[in-house]
Amino acid sequence: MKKVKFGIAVMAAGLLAAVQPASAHHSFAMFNQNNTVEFKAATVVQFQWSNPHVYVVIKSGNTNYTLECSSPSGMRDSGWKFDTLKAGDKVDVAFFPMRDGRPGGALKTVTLQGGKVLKAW
Amino acid sequence: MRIQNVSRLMVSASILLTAPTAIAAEVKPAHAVAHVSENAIMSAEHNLTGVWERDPSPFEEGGAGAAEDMPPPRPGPNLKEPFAAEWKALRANRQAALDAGKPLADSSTLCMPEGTPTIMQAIYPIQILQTPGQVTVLAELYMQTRRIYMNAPFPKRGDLEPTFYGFSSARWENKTLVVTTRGLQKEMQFFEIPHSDQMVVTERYQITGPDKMRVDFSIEDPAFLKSPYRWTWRYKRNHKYRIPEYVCDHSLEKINPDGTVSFEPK
Repeated sequence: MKKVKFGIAVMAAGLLAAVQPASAHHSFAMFNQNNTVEFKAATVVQFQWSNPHVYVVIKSGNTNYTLECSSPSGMRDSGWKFDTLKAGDKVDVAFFPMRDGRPGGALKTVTLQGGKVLKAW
Repeated sequence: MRIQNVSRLMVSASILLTAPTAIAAEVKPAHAVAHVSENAIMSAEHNLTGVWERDPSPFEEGGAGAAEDMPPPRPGPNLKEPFAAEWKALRANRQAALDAGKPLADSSTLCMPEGTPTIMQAIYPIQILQTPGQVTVLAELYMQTRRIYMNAPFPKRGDLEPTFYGFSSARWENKTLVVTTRGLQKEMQFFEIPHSDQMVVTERYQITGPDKMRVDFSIEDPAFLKSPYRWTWRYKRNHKYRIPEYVCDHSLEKINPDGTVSFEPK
């Protein structure tokens, strides 16, 4: 549902604002939402379209990264379809990495081969 | 436009209610009378059928983003001691884990049903259906089903099974649907608030305008609460949204032995 979207958390100082995704199923505290990682021309390994977890697995270098997205309804509102990504596609991605350093995170945006940018939250 | 949508929905609802009535009339005239009675009072103020989302969104109200960051509706429960201190400590412990980036698993992470009244929180939209003798709440989250029976007598005290949704009986009081729920199991908790088997949840549903609904909640539990816990949630009807399937699994997360939940890359 489109309710799964960015929420605004105002830092204690009241000056800085961090954007963090919302989830109904599990917390996003395991992702470092103060850091964004970007990969160019990563290869799509798997695209899973399901509720509550839409996710994409991409390969950059020799490492696979699992990136969680919003719900299907939320992503549909952002222009996604169940077949937007296919294994073998080359895409640019930006994501919040995992705090523990393992290869994964919360996908922020994907840039398709034609240059179209889609938000994942 | 909105009013037209309501009218269209009303026609659909009338067909829905009339069809079973007609069938029932051929075989069980006594039941048919009851159905006609329900049908007769069907008006825009009595029509709860539709897909509803919270208005404003619970995420906006919560402010922090994730569902588990949402605070319980104000003013919060007025718990007796030692339950108040225990609940406060439990919530503080959960918040500290979140702040440390190591969230603790909860019933949501474990894919457990929300139960009553949490299902009405509508983190994702809910669908209400009115059919003869029953109001049904279907939730996108966990594909939950809650059945509310119209004018149904409660089972005798010893026969009331403890369940996630309890036994809900509803009646119309003028333009307000009053739903009373008993028989809620102790393991099913609203914002982790402890309760006894004496807990009673009362909901008062009112259509407050075109596609607008207000529900006033009250939780009474003399064993745990000093005073009833009361709050209000408001909703708007969404005529376009089709609730998708929701298959709760642990495909991307793992419950660790220390009670924390972690994201598991493929």
